[in-house]
Amino acid sequence: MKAYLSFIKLRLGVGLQYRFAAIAGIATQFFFGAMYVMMYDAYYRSGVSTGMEWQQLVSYVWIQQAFFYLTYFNLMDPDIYDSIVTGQVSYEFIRPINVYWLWYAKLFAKKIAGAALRFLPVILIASLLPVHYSLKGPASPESFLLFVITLTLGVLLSLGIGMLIYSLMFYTTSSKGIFSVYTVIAEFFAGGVIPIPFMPEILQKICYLLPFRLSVDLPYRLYAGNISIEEGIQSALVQLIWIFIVIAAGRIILKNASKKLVVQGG
Amino acid sequence: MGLYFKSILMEIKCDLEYKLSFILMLLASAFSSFFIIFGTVLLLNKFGTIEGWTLNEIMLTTGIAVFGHVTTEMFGRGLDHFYKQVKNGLLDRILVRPRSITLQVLCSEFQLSKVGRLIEAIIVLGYGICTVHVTWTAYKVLVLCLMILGSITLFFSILLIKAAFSFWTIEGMEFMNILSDGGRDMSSYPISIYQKWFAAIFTYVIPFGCVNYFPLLYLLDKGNVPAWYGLTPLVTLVFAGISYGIWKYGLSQYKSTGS
Repeated sequence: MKAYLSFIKLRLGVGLQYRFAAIAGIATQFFFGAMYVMMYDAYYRSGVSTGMEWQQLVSYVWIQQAFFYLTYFNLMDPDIYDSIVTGQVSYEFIRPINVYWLWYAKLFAKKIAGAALRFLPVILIASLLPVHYSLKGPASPESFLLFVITLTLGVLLSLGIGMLIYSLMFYTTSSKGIFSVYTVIAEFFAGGVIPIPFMPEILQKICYLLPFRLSVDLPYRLYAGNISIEEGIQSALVQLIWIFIVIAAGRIILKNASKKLVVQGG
Repeated sequence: MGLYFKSILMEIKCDLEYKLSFILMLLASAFSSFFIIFGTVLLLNKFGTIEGWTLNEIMLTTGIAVFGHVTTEMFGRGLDHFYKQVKNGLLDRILVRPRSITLQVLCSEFQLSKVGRLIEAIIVLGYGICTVHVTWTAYKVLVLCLMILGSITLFFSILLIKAAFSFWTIEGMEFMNILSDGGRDMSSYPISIYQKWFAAIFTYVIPFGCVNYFPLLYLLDKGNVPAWYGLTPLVTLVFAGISYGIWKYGLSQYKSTGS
């Protein structure tokens, strides 16, 4: 455990170095947030009633932008990717630590460092905007608590799914394509493109069957008060089950892959 | 120009060597914009209209935006990744060759895998053109062509500015994505749906409004605008001139860090 913790610490330090990149990230998130809020405002002026109240939607958009780095499904890590492609990975398997958790810790630290520099400024600016467009506080103390819990579990889940994809990379040489296809599909069914309540019923059902929405849609709508507390608690349990499944599957696949791993050349 | 096509052909051959990988990248590129466009369709399906604009009108603007964006991504990838060449010193190699620098940078990368998205953009654009209520005249066809060409010019100029920026800093390149990817998403809708200050920036500073709003008003006969509104996409040429100036200036300022 100590090895993984120090790894997380190391990576956090690296991630926090890129301050200018963080400022650029904040500006980007703020731009997209403002654009979406204005766009939805134009949609809402048509007066059609939707599954989300205006204030809930505004909160959803801003919180999504603030934690974008944390819940974005693209887990492409050049280090891990290169190590698999170049064969460097064989060294990692020699070390007396579990490669699965090593990478998991690596990805986790990257997410935390990226998000840590970004989320507060976005939240701060978004709450200072004119009332109609501003981010409001959480719907209730309970929903805030559940938001924190489900967001954390959601990150663990999306990392687990990402690791599953990395494990599959040992079986193919076209991993970049797999990664990109996975990212865009996951993003859509998670409610990252448009909120799930705006989708037709059939698509909503599909979203609820897949695990992706548990990382994005669930925590953000809990914050906005669009999902009830009871449903939130139930969904948190579902998250735990999914986390268990994807981590178990990822570890089994990686174990099998490492057995078959052939290192060429000397 | 012959040199350019030769290097593109080479890049295409390279891409096709890895067939499965290529097909997956093709799918990925098509998927990514598919879901964004699909999202827009779902929203319009839910709300009916946006500020009075209907689905086919929005598909027209979306088509123009995505088409312009993907064309420049395909041909201008070298500019997009130019900061890498500055970072690893490849630019020095380019500078000593007796050919146009801009040409060489453009030659350095070509992304055939974007064809998937290009086809998608053409379908969306085609759908928009066919379903929108316009009595086509020769002048209106010209206006439509200008809008499409204006969109390409605009996105290409943005890439050029992005590349020029890497002469001063190579960090925070994400910021420039606001203009390229953000610009695409934003100009998928007529600029009038946004707040005034926002629309003003994207009309007077970066002339998206001249590509997807003023000529559109004329094309669809909205609000009785004069016929010269159809020619506003030409403003993008001014923007292109400015961005080329910045690029040239940056190039003249470039000092290699040595090896």
